[in-house]
Amino acid sequence: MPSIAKPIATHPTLQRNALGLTIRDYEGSMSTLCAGCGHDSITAAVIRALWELDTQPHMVAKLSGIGCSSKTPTYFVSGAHGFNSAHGRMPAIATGAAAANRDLLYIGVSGDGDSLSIGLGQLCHAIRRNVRMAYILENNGVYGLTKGQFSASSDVGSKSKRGEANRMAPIDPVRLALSLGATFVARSFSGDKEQLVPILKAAFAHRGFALVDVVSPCVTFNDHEGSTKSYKHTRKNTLRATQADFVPPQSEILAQISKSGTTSVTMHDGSVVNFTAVPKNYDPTDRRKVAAYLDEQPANAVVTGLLYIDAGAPDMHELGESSPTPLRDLVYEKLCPGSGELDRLQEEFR
Amino acid sequence: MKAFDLAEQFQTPVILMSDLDIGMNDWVVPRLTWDDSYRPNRGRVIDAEELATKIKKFQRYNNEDENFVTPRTLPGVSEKGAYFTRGSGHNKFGGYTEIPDEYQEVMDRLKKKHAAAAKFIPEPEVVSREGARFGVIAMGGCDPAVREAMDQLDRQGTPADYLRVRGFPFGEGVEKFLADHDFCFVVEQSRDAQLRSLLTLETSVPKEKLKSVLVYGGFPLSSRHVVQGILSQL
Repeated sequence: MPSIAKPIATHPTLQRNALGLTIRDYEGSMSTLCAGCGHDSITAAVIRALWELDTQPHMVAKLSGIGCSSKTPTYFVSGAHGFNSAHGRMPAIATGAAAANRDLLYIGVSGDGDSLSIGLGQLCHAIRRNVRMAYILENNGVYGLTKGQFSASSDVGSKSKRGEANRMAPIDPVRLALSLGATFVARSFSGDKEQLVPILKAAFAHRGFALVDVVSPCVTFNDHEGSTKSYKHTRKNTLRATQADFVPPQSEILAQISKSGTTSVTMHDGSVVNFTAVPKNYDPTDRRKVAAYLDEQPANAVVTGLLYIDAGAPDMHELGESSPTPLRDLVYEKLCPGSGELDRLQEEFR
Repeated sequence: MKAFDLAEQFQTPVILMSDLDIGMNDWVVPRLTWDDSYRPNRGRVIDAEELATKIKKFQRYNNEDENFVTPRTLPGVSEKGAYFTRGSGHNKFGGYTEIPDEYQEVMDRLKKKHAAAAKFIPEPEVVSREGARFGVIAMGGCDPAVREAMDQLDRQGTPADYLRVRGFPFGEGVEKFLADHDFCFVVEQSRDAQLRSLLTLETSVPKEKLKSVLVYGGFPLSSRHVVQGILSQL
């Protein structure tokens, strides 16, 4: 059965951003996920963040792997190119695309199965290379498409829909990213749009790899009593470690930066992440302190917020000293050094 | 460079075959040259200007050319050219579909495109000898050892024609060589005779016309293997 087409008509009073676009201009096709799926709330947050940032739709590239999460790039920004990769292979596709055109905003959407099992190596190396992309990990602790098996992020003791408890220790994407040297690490909850939207905006502005782990309940297979990724459990155990506001560069002068802010981090493009609430002695720019803070929290706590940021680390292009002009835009005469350079190179081997 | 051009022209992955012996050892090679007149063939790419002036509505898998290739757009060029490369069923317009006929239509086009690509891949190399009684077929890293073996067999009074496969899908040159010989030996570094299997699947050759010489002990192929393998079956 074909999916239902969205109506094109929009309300004439819809607010427009600096590009003259309404929020509906950032939507995609109609979701075919289950009603109430957390992933659809994340999609709505992505749309909101891109609209508020005045992002040109065609300057976005959407990528994903396989899984329920990986269906979602079709549900936002239909004016952007999108790509479903093989299972777990989205980071390699994104790395290649970013190498060819460094000017696009790369949004990778993945899930806990796609990222932490079959694609774990891919995720690790994208972090290591500091590929400039926002990597949204829609984390529901379960393989939804294949009908509810435990994933690598399922907590010990968390119960499946039929009552079986998981015994294997989970891989925590936040701790993994911190240990691998990720330059932007955040966790949020699909049901907390107020927190998620500013985190996504900061992730989109980050010059490097931005991991955003979003607990996103699966209403069909993992939203019952005994699940540790359900709406009820997440709401009950969420611990907001930080609250961050994102101030884009064009409005920086006008923005009222809260006096209660404890830390402000200036991003590469001039935007500012203003931390308005953090625990005592918490420094979101100190990797070791962040890791220590996470260790101190109760095992069942879902610690959320923009947890760590290093806005100054070199990204893949800086590490590789690649051309500031996207390779895609270089004329052939500049892209190919020609026979003379090949001769010179070969002389070096004599 | 030919592989890159083919990949872009036909919008499909091109796999370059190598082998362990080539990849894991240092080799002395002839001096490399570069043709400064070469320009890449990007295939059918619609740019921003064409999208704005000539395209009413871009449809990713529509408007095929004589080789069944449809034009594409590049990311970051124009919202009008955006499309989603999806892993699930899609129709020729690039949209999501679960209608079997629509998906089958795009799958059929891909089959025709891959068949058309056979005309563009490198032709096989053929070395003919006077009085040849049979043919020998090999590919990739087998080539130097097989050429040496052909010389040895000729000196021993058993001349044979040689064909080096240089691409897949097979072109007319492979079909003709198979048809021109009563029987052929297929020399491979493979336990499972994969090249012979492909030849029987993808050409009209009767499989009893193809005999295998298989070497897969782990050492590189030598002419001795080839000569012995052929003579033992004559």
